[in-house]
Amino acid sequence: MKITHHLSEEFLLDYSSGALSEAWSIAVAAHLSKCSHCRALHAKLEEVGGSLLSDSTPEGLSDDIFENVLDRLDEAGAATGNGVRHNSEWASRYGIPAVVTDYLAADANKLPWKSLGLGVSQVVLETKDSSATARLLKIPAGKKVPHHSHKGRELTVIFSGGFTDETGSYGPGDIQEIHGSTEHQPWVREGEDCICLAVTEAPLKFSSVAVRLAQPLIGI
Amino acid sequence: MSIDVDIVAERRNSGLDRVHVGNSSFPTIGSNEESKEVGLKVESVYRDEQSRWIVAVAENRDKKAFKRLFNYFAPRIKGFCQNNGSTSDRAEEVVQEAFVNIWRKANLFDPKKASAGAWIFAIARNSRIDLIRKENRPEADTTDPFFEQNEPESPLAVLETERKSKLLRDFVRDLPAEQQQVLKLAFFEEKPHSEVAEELGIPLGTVKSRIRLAFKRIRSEFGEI
Repeated sequence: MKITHHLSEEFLLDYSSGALSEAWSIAVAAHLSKCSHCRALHAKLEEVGGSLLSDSTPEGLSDDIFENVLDRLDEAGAATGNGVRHNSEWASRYGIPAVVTDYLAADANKLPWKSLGLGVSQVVLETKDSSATARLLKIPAGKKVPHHSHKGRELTVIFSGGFTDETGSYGPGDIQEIHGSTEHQPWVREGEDCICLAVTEAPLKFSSVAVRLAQPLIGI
Repeated sequence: MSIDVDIVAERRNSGLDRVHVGNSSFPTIGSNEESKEVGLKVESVYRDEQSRWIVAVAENRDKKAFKRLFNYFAPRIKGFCQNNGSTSDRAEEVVQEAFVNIWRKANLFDPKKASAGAWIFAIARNSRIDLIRKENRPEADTTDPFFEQNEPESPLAVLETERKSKLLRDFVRDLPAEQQQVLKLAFFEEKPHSEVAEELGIPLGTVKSRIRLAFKRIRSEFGEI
């Protein structure tokens, strides 16, 4: 997998330190599942975290803390990876990583796809994050998404197909990071639907009045 | 340097690479002559005693080793959390959660990929997100069939990881104060870089360039990453 678009260092720092909220973190982890380059920097940042932890000032603990931990160990077996994976045939076809499918129903037929109009459909991932929304998008091959801008940031990770916009060309494994008022018009490659994960912190602002009027229906 | 080394790299069912140290005389690391020249004493493979403690917990469910980890890291995790404004009680909850997870996940520790400190930092960070923020922590999973694997690492990677981790620790201590401050606000207080800018009353661009400067130094110092 040839990845050409990586995560910015600031975003990666927010993820590695733990500052990033859940919805954004799904996109970062999905990219990390595909990108050994960003994983290597993430590992270094966890080493920085480890060295800050090792150098932090020790604080005295209440007497019973270790005993409390020991009492809980019997119920805590050994971990076996992150649990059972249920990659459906559907998710496998598009190479969707487990960190995303963990949020989806096992049965692909039961995925709550919702049409956004214009041939685009979405499944919103249920997270505990109220500040941002993560959604899986399916955009038909050859489709031009209307011009739109974003109030805040947007992260998009591509699993299948790809698109081109004013900022470049994006394919499987790539991550696109958009800030503030950037206006763009993604144009999906011919021949293959684009399956991607998009995380936004605020409703999209479409430039055209007609689309803007439709937006409450579209729901993003 | 030509002492034989008994390292058996074994791929476990979990899919994680692990290094085993034994007394049998298996052939050496790697296949070329050069690697046979690299001399190591068996007991020095996990030179870092904290890594050895985690491995003892994983393999022998060793409560003495677990207590040693606790004695060293628990007060530091508490101090680390209190930097974030957590009360003593909350910080101690995080400590307990972290150590239950250390016990459960010790078998997933891979000394080729992380030092003991970095691994425990990640567990404590995730415990804090779970308990304080009540959110999930999405992470790439190496056992996922759609995880694009790295090239397999040589068993010697464990030494390289330890060496770099020690260097990095000194290096972070020696970073210019303003770069260190940005990293500390990020890690201790879990502040996104946008909030770091607000808190310090400096432009976002300045925060980004400090982050990039720090990373550039980390990169140049520790090779291609």
